[in-house]
Amino acid sequence: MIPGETRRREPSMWIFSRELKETTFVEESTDERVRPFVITPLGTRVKRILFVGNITSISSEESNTKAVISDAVGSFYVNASNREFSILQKEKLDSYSQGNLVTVMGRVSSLRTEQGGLYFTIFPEKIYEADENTRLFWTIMTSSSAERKIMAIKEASKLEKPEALSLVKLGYTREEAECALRSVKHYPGADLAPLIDAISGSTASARVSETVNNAKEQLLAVIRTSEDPKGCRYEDILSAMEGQGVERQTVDEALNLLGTEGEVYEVSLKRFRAI
Amino acid sequence: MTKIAEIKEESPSLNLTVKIVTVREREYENDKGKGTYYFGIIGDETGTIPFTAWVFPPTVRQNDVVELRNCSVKAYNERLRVYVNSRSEVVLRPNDTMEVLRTYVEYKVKNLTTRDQYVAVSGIISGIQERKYSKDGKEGIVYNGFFRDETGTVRLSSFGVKLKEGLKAKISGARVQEYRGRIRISVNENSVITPVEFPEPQIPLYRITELANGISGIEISGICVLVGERSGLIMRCPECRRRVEGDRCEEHPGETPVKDLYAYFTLEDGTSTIQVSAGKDAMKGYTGLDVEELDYTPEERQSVSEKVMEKFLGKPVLLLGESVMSGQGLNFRALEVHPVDKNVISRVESLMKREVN
Repeated sequence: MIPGETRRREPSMWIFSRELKETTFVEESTDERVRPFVITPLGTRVKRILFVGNITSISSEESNTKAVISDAVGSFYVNASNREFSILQKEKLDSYSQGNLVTVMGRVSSLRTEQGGLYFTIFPEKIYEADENTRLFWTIMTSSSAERKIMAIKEASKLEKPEALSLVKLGYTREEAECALRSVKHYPGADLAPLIDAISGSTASARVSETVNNAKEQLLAVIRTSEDPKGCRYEDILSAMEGQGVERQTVDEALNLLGTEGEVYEVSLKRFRAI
Repeated sequence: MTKIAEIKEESPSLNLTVKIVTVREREYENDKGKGTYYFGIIGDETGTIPFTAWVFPPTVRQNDVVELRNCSVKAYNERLRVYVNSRSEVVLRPNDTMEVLRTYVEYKVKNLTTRDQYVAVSGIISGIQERKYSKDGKEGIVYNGFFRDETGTVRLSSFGVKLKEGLKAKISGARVQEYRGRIRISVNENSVITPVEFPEPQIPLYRITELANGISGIEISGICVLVGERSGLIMRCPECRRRVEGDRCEEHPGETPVKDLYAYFTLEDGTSTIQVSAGKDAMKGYTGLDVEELDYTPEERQSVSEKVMEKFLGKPVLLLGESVMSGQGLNFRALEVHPVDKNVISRVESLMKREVN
């Protein structure tokens, strides 16, 4: 650090797991001790990220805890070890279980395999319990941020000599303009269509998750109050839930989720019982 | 001779006859040494335009009429400006007078900057309070209040010109100043206040990256990622408002410190990051903690500290307040803190949709 200069905290980037997953470019670092920046296909220069998601799997060992945390379009792979600087985060992660909704702020670490594959792991610095509002808020903000970058990339691709100033004059922020230039430089001709499709559906997907989560409690109550000794019939569940204004698709998704979380099991074909 | 109203684009050379409306000088230093340049506003009967003169006769003063030969026009800060350099000629016309049509660039409140000192703004005048003052043996009245449009609010003051509470108006010739990191505007006898009609503006909600100046009456949202360890119940000197660690303020030992409740935290929204401070009123509304009901004991302080952490850390919030420029950059002072609920999400979503579309 230059004497007299104030060290500025690296802000966290809000990106979807899919944007990170499709990343193929990592900056070279001259200092082995410093984790390099990752450049995503949307040009986001990432070292620290923040995301909100559901823990879909978690496995804890003495030395480390690994978790898969899903956002609306994919999954982040999180690893907290019991080393001195991350033991608190391991303990925090260990306090959660499958199905919990969490906000994670963490450092991005990359691993390139001999075959050339690139994999990313998030080392958490902060983990907070989240709720549906937090998830929807994060999804909307992240989706909007990504969509603006995508539009800036399209504009930059039209320019003969792409410059940040030209994009700023079009109404993009300096950061969005620089993201677009990085995308054009490091991912020339890349097909962003699948990523764009995934991102454009993210908010709708988060809303579905919210609806499903809300339906879970109602569904559990229906199964628990069933007096059928063979287990509550799927048709009866559906009839009760539709009577409460819940659609069939939501019932199916909530039923699957409750099964995954271990709250409900299928006694026999299409008959369910709560644990 | 070109008239100012005819200047529509950059030009390498043109001749103008103009009145010096305002002129100021400033020293500079570069590789070639030190020097002085002049800048201000020139005008004629068709309009006004800013100018910069690298060479300027010291005898020329404000309100003089001059002929500018072989000057150039270039864009600076996205606005056309006349430049007078060593190839130009400035000829004083001491016997001439000229009526100037003052024209002002129209600004939204959020874009006000001291780079453009006299502007036109449209909005609502509110919160007007009058106060008598005395200067150089003369008594006068200053009217203080606020001026807001759909992009934010600034403080407004008027020396002598009475301001009508609730008036929707366009103010031409408002002067822009910065005081303690906040932008403010003032009007005087040369400003023109014209009533105008427009819909009642809503409180604007911004992404953090859009904040540029010190303006108030705005909202931002984000997730609190870090909370200052010293947030919570504190003692403050009533005189200098500084935090007091012991029994007495070192600078004002005669004052009895008073209890206060505040939090400072880092807010991020995926577009940028900003340091936020929230005072006792904002804290009471959001956390339910009332400073008057708290005892300044180690146990209570610990309990308050834990509650602050629980309510802020990792939580999404909506803040109403003001952005303030300080030595460390732009900060945000929250006057109200709200949890992100369905209504907030709906507002954030419409803001984002509007932006993306």
